[in-house]
Amino acid sequence: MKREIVGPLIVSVVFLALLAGFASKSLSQSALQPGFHPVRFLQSDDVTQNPQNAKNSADAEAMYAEGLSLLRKYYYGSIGENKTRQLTYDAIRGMLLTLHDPFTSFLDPDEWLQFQETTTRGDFEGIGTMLRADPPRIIVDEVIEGGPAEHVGMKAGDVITRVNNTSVVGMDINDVVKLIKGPAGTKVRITVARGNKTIEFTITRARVEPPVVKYWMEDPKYKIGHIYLSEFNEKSLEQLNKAFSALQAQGMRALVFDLRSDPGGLLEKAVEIASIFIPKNSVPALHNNVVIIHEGDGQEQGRKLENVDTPYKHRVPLVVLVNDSSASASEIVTGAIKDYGAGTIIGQRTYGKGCVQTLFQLDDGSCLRLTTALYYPPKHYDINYQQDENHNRIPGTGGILPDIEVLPEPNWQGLNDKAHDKQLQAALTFLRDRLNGMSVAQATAAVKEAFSPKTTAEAAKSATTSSTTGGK
Amino acid sequence: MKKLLRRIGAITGLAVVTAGAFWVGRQMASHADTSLWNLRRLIATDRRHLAGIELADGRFALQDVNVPPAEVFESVLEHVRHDYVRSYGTETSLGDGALSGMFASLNDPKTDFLKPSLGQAHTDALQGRFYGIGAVLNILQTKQKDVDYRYLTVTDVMPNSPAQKAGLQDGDRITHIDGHWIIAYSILADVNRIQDETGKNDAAKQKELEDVANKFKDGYSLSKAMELLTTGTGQTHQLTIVRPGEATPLTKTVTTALTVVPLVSYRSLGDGIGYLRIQLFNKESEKAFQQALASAGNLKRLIVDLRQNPGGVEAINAPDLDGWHAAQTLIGELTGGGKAGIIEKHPNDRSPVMITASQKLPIQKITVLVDAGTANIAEFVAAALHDLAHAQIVGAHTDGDDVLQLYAPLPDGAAMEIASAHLLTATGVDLGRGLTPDISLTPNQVDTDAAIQRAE
Repeated sequence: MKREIVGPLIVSVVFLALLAGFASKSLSQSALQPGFHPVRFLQSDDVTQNPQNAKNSADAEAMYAEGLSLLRKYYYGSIGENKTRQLTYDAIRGMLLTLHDPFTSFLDPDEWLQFQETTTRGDFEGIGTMLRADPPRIIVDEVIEGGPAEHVGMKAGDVITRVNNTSVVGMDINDVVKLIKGPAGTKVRITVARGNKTIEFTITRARVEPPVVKYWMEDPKYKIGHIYLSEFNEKSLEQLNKAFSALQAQGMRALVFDLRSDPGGLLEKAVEIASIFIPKNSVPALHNNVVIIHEGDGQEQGRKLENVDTPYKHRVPLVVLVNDSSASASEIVTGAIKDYGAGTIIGQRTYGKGCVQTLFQLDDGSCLRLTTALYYPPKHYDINYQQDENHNRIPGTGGILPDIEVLPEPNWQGLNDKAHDKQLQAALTFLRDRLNGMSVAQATAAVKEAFSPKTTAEAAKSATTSSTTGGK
Repeated sequence: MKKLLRRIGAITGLAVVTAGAFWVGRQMASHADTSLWNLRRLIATDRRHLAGIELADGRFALQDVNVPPAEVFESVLEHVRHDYVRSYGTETSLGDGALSGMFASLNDPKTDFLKPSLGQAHTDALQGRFYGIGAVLNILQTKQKDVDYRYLTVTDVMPNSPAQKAGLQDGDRITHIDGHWIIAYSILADVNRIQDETGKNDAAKQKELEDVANKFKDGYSLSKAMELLTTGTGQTHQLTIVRPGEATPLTKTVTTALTVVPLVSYRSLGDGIGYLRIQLFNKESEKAFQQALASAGNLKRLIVDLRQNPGGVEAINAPDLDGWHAAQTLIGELTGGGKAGIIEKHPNDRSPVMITASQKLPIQKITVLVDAGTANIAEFVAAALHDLAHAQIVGAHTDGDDVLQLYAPLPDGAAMEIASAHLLTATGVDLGRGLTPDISLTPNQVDTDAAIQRAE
C-alpha cells in the first residue's frame, strides 16, 4: 500500500465509522420516537385508490378514503395533488374536533414552522410585548422591560387595532404575531386604542429576551419578599435561585410566590420548584408525590419530591398568589403546596388544565398536538374544567380553589399597579399577621374577613344605600 | 515476525480507533435531536424529495411533499387510537369528523357532509317523508367584499306540512329561530365594518363590538338551524322570515311534525285531458308515473304539474333515491327521446344528455305547470319537454338551481352531497337562470287549482 494514501485512508475510515455510528443510533432512535421514520421513497397511495383494501369499511381511514375518492371522481371542480393535501389536512382537523379537546390540535407544515418560530415561552420577539386575546380584541398584556415597545411608550392594557395599517381586530392572535414579528432592525407600525385615544407607534424590532423571574422586597419593614414567575422553562429554576439568594441576603422573613397569569410550561420544572417549598415526608399519606400522572392505558405514576440544588434552605411563611390564568405547571406547584400545607393559596380559582400534551412531528413536516396524559394533585382530584353539552367551558369549574378567595379589582392594570392589587394586599396582610404571631388558621380567618367577596359585596351594597338615602 | 506483529498492531490500532469513532458517533446521536433533520438530509440518497417552505423573513424550512396525504391521515389516526388519554368515541364518529372537515374545506354549499341526524332527515325527505317543518330548505351563498354570506331559504313547501300551515312560501329567507340569529357570515365582516366606521369614537366602537360578540355567541349555526327545521316532531318554534317584497320581517310559528307527501297522483279531467302531479323525482315516483301513464291511454293533452317540486339527486349507491334516472325516463316516455339537455361535468367540459326511449306515449299536447319552487331536476325536465315536445310552460319563473348533486348515504345515517355537474337546456341556456314560462300567472293564480284550469 502506498504511504501517501494510508494516512488519508485511515482518516476516512475513522470518519466513516463516526458517521456510521451516528446514523445507526439516530435511525434506531427515530424508530422509537413516535412519528419519526427514516426518509421514505415514493409509495403508491394504496388506500386512496382502492378503498376495499381498508380492513373494515367502518374504519375512519376507509371513510376518509371513500370521501376523497368520490370527490376526486365526481366533484365538478378539479381536485389535484395540492387540493388533496389541503382536503386531508382539513379532514384531520375535522376528525380532531370530534374529541372536543381544546388542547388537541393539528398544525400543517407551514403552521408548525411558524409555531416553532414564536418561542414557546409566549413572549413575542419583535417589539417586546406579551399579548393576550380577548376576542375580538388583541390586548397588550405586558410590555417587556428594556424592549422596543417600552421604549416608544406602549403600555399594558393598550388594545392593538392595526399593524402596518392592516386591521387586526378579530384576527387570530397567532396571525397578529406573524404580522408583528420580523428581523431585528426592521420597522413596524402599530396602532393602539388607549381609552378614547388612538396612538400610532413606529417601532424598530429587536431580539428581546425577558427574564422569567422578577423579584423584590415587597415590604421592607416586615421583610416580605415577592417573587413573580412568568413561566416554567429551562431558565426558571436558576433565576428562582438567584432571587432566593438576593432576598435571603436582605433578610427575607416571609415570601409571596406569585404565579398569576403563569400559563405553565415544563413538567420537570414544576416538580423541581414544588420540591423547593415542600419538605419530604411531611404528610405520609401523600407518599411524597408532587403530582400523579395518568396515561391512556390507565397506568398512574406519582412524580416524587426531589432533592433540588437551591439556596432556599430555611422555609419561611409562604403565600402563593394565583388567578384564573394560572395554568398547568402553575397548578401542579399550587396543588402540591396546598395539599401538603406548605403554604397558603390566595387569589382566584386557577385555570383548570390538568392534562399534558405530546407533540408528534409527522413525516410530511406537520405536527399533532395530542393530550396524552392527565395529572392530579397529590390528593388525587380532577382539576380539569368541565364542558357543557355544547362543549363550551362551564365557568367556575375546574382549577384549584384558593385557601382564601380574593378577586382582582376590575381596574387592576398588572404587576406594577400595586395601588389596585387587592390580591397582593391580602397576601401581605396574611404574612404580616403571621409574622406578628398569628397561626395559619387565625391569619386565614382574619384575611377572609377583610378581603372576602361577601364582605366586599356587602360593603358596596351599604355604600349604595347610603348614597341614595342621602342628597337631594 | 516483527513485521507481522507490527502489521497486526497497526490493524488492531486502526480497528480500535474505528470502533471508538463509531461509538463516539452513537453518543453524538443520542444527544442530538433537532440535528436529526440535518443528518437525514446527509444520508438521504434522493434529495429531490425534500422541498422547502420559504418563511416571511427569508429563511427556509423542510417539508417533505412526497409523503402521501393518506399516510399523514393514518399517522394522526394511529396516535389518536393509541396515545389519546381519553376515549375518542368510535371509528365512525372519527370518520364522520374527518369527512365533515374534508367537505367543509371546499366551501361549496352544494357539496356537503351531513352528520347522521341531518343525513337521515335528508334521506327520508328524498323519499317523501319530511320531518321538521316539512319544507325543502337550501343554503344560498353569495360573496360581498370578500366575505361569504350564507342564507337559509325555503325552496319548496310540502302539502299539509307545518310550514304550509304557518304560511311559509318559497323564497322566504329564515333569519332567526326563537330569537336566535342564524349565523350568516363570519364575525370578521362585522368587525371590519365597525373598525372602518368614521365619526365614532373608540369607546362607541368597543360597545358595538361587544354587541356583535353577543350576537354571534347567542346565534345558531346553520347546522343547528337545519337540525331544528328538518328533524324531529312536536317542537314549536318562532321563525323570523324575510320575504321578498315585504318591507319588514314576518314572524311565523311552526310545530314540527312528520309530513308524508304523495309522490305522484294522476287523474283524468275528462275530455281526453290527463293531469299528472309529480312531487319529487326518485325511484318510487318513477314507477308510479310510469304506471299512471301506461293506464292513461290516448290523451289530447297531458298537464304535468311540477310546482313545488324540488327535483332530486343522482344516487349511484342508493338506487331508491335516484331521481336523475327517473327524470330521464319521464322525458323519454313523453317525448320519444332525443337531446334533452346539456350536462357540464367540469368547467368547459360539456356533453349532450341523449335520451333513447323505447316508445313515445300517445299524447298530443303537453303543458307543464311550474312555479318558483320548481327546482333542479324538475327544471331540467320542464325545459326538455319544451325543447323536445313543444310543451307549453305555464306558471311562474322557476327556482334557477342548475347543480346536479350526487348523493351517497352512509350506514350511520350520515350522507355526502357532491356538486357533480351543472345543467343546461338543449339549446345551451344555463338553468341557473331559471325558466321563464310561456304563459305567466300571478302568484295568486299559480298557487291554486285555477292554474290547472288555465292550463286546460
